[in-house]
Amino acid sequence: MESPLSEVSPHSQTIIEERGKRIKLAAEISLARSSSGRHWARALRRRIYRKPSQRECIVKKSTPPLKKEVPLVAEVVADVAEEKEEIEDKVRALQRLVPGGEEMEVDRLFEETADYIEALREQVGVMRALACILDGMESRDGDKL
Amino acid sequence: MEDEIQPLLNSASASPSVPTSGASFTALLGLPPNRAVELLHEPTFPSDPALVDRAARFSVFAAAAAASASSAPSPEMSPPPLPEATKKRKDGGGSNGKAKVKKGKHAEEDTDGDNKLPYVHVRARRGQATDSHSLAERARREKINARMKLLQELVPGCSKISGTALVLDEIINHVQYLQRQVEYLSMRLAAVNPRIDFSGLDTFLSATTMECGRLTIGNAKVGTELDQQQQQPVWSEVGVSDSDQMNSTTNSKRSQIQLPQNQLQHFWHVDLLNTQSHLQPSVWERDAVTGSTAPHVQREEQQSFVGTGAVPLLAFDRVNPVAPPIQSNQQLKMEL
Repeated sequence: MESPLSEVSPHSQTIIEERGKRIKLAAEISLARSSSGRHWARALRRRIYRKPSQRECIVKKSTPPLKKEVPLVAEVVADVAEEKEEIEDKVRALQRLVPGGEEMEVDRLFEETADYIEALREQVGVMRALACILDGMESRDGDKL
Repeated sequence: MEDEIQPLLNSASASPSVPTSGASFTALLGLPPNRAVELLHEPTFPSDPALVDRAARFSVFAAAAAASASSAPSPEMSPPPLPEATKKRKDGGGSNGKAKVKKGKHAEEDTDGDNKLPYVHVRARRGQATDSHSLAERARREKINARMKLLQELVPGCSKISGTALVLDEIINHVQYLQRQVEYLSMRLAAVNPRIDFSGLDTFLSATTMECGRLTIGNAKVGTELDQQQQQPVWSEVGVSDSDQMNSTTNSKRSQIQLPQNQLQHFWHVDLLNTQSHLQPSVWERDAVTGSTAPHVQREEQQSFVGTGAVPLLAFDRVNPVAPPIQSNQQLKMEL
């Protein structure tokens, strides 16, 4: 599957996209493996190994960055209730973000989130480093062909 | 308990080049809370202050929410002084010692579904209700607050924010940001070099592996030598530990690749640039796995070297066994 392309044509764009998806899958797998004892990791694994039709992209499923929300139900109640509602919404959003989060209580959710964040950071670090390597290689070996 | 803890401790005290102390630490976290507390008092517990600190924090609500019935004949006395001290701190300035009532409570109410926490030790403050329900509530709330604090420290810039909602916002944004980074980096890796192909799952677990020298980036030169691979598809994993805080809890990852001995002239040196100042170089190591094994078995074996805190990585994957072998010494060309 090598094509010595110097410019990106539409065809190769799709190739890159496909490849990107596979890479992302590999990244998710290694993410899940790295903390295999964790609930979120097991849930992530389940999601990955399900049928591809059920597999959802992490990013697409996430909510847009949160702003202050106006409560949907008009309530003439004290602030406390509204605040609680807000907080509950955010907790639910977090549950959706963290794999396997829906089944967890809040305290467990926070614990899992902390671990998930750490694992994600490591993953990003590795991928970034890898990209560095490959960029270096690419520029260096471009003329060797 | 001892036999469960001992292997963890052994691996924790192993030399830094062994990548399992990360495993031991996060495995520690995975232990039931009462055991984590006990481990704290193990004399041989790894003396890394950061580890102990984190373990202590986790043990705070662990001990607050539970007293291990197995280890404490008298539950009232059992909570170690450590969580008590922390509890005092948490209660803040508003607490006067004489008004405090310490209640031990049997949890016939497993209201939270915390079925492994038989005891709740909660300090009732002055004027607060001390019936069992509100005690449970309070214990639970304190537990949640403790974990939220931990999360706050984890997310950069979150410690100055006050107010649960805003903190939660930050956390959510951070998680989304990280996920988007993964996505973006996948695309970037895909585009980086059309000649290098990272293949997917099917070959991820396949048979033999290839061995290499050290993988480090520098101002260095990519070695001109590359071991030649002729056999079945191989896979390997590279991992690098990231930020500073990671270094205290995890080790650098291992990748295991092994070269078929018949080929062998060359090997590949690339130096890995530290993207962060404390980044440890990843190491390509000899793997004991030889020959082709069933994918499942392979996966298990490969998993063993991965500490639970460590992140193994991407697969350099050689899909196509019929790919033309690498011709010249000078060409660094991986066909996958």
